[in-house]
Amino acid sequence: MIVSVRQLSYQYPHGTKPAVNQASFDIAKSETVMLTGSSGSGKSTVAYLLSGVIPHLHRGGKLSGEIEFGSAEARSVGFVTQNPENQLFGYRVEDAIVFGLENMGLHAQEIGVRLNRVLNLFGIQNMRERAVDSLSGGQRQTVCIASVLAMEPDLLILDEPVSSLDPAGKELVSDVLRQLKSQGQTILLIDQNLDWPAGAVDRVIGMEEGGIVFDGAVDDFLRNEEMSARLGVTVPQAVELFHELRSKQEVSWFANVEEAAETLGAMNIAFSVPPHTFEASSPNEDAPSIRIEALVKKYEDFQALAGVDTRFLPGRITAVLGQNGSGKTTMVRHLIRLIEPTSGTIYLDGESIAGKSTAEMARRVAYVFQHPDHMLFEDTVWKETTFSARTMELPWSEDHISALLDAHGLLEFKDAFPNSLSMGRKHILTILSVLSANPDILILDEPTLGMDREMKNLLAKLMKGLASEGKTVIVISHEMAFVADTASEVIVMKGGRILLQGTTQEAFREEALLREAKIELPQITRIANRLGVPGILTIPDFVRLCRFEAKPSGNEVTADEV
Amino acid sequence: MKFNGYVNKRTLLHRIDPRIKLIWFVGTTVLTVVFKDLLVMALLIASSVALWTISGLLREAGGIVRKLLPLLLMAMVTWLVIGAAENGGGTALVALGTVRLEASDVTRAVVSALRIFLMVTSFYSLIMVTNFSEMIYGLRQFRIPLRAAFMCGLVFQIIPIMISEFRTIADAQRARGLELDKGGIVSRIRRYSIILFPLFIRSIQAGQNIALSMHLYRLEFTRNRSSYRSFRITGGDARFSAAFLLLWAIAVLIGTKYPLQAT
Repeated sequence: MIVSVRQLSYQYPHGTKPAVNQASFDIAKSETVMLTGSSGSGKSTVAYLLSGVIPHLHRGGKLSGEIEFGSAEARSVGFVTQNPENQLFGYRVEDAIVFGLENMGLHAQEIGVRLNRVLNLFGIQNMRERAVDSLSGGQRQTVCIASVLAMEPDLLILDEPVSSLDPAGKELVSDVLRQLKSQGQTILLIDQNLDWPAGAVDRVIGMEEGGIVFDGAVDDFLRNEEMSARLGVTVPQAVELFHELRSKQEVSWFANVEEAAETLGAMNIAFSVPPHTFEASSPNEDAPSIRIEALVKKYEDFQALAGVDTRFLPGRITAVLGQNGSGKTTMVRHLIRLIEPTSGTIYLDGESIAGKSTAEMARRVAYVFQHPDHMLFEDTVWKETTFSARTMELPWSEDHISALLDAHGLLEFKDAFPNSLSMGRKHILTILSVLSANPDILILDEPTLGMDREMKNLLAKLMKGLASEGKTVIVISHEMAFVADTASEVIVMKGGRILLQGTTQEAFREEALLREAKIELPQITRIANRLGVPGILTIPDFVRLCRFEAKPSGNEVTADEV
Repeated sequence: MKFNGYVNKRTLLHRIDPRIKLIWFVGTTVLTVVFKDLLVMALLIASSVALWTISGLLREAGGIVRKLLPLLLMAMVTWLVIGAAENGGGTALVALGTVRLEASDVTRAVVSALRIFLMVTSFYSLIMVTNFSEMIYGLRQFRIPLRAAFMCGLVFQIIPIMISEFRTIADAQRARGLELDKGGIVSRIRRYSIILFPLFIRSIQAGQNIALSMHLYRLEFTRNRSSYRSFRITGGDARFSAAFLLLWAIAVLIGTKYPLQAT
């Protein structure tokens, strides 16, 4: 056994209840265990306790129970935090990796051996001389894991390692996780999403209000629909589909795209042919709220936008997709004049926005930053929510604000300090805050970061509600399932240009172009594609369109026929 | 963590041993402080420009100079005003009642601006070519305690991070409808003061992150720390040192024997 935890409890110095409450579990050698649960369930506190951050760094608080390590070394735990940018010391990749080894006082020769071992393990020898600053998110996360692994910890803790990564970064870290598993490394993975690592995880420990409420094999967790929903864990869409179909028909267990396609392909399933486009045209097509013409943005040493032409329609949710560095954020920041274009014109309701200040634009266009901490200024949630309306001297009512907070689970926190909220709640708060100014256009930059399943559902509902009121909603996201569920239109960017624009359904048929932009389709779309029914974007669509034991008719196709 | 000041190139200056670069920086700063002399300043500036040219850092240095210009102009004007208000007893270049601008006033204003220029650019020259890790290594080689060397290196990380945070928070304020750059100076200061609260929170968070990383990477100042990289003094380092020792000797000679001093 690597570590045994018995009756562990901890209450923060200013906490009103224990963050971890009577938790007991074991982690065996070479196991990959996932610690999951909704925001604020106590996952990160467990990681701090195991890594010794509590009580050695964060002092005070009430601690009881036992943590017993199996190895002779007192505490051999490596910890990779959520944000590698804040963890790495050293300018070059090599400097960052050897930093911990030098602190351990190892001989230069031993450091060299360990350095080369991790560089080779992750195939990053070519990055050795590169500046950490120049790496992509996924590369940084890999270097961060390498720097901790080089210290040869018995237990490696990874805290939401892919939460802020683009699809390529996620893929890179998934490969790293598989590599580590094949090497027999013991891993504790902390995440609210089980959709990306499900194949690599052996066991799941579920936490709720500081206590352990589930401890079992990953398959048992995935089969337990009630438990994953209760803990707000995002499971693979294939699993969600299984549960949906099982409620209507007896279906054999499947947990990934391949198994789903095989199982469903073997059954006699017919599909009503899906409409080719849900929203091929829009009544507002001729009256876009925003039009961009030949937008170019050049910096000293690179070109961020290389001639962008597009438009955004009222009443639509448009998702802007692409790898980090493709120009997504640069483009949308132009819309509120946070960036001055090198050339090109942006029109808001047909009128050029050139010369307007960002504050002037904010009356019509609301931009929610990727990291909510940058947007929080007030000392209570209530004041924060009304900040924009008060600043712009716009009318607002207490009833409206109360209703808004209540509908999004924040009313009970109205007197709380905004920075003390979980990441997901902070995101919702920043969105509600800009909505108090009643803007016509809402831009959300990676709004699902740190959100559990329940919060993502709330956000999706909020976005759809705004679009139905005729507002223009623009969202940058790497979560394809979320995009497929919410967006009616997508723009795919690469290298500062628009690679593809169309309805979500049309765009998701362009697999070659999406591959070029390194965008992976949602699992449900891939399952449907495997069954020969392209154009299905969501699980409700899949369930609505499929018929069990139906005979094919004129407008129906069976999975076998295709 | 970001290292905004460092320029990631492999130039002559980048290749010089960090210890030599630290000596060069300290020496240049000391000469700038000691000699308020136009010729000495001109010599040191000429050597800096030569270094930037040889190292292909003219563009980066030019950027710093452009940002410095308003400050330099302000310093010059201030010294000219002070000089004009004083009667130095020399020949007046311009006289208007009791206000007399003399040649020595102009020299003093120019030298003051050049000294500011040299102090700032020599510091920037150092951080443009010496990264965080090299800086700590160099300081450690001078037997500076690890705690002090590490803290010194951290400064080079934290300042750019805080500048970047300040800009982002200001952008977030603007995006929430706050006009930061309109109105009188008092109302601008009042609006900008709102940024201080989130900046303070972010500073605390940055400090916590650093403390967390130090713990996770087992940085303990009580334990002996080893070093993977070892720098050896090369022929290039020796030539660089010789050139600067010679230059400093000339500067001292000019400064003491042939002064063209600002009073």
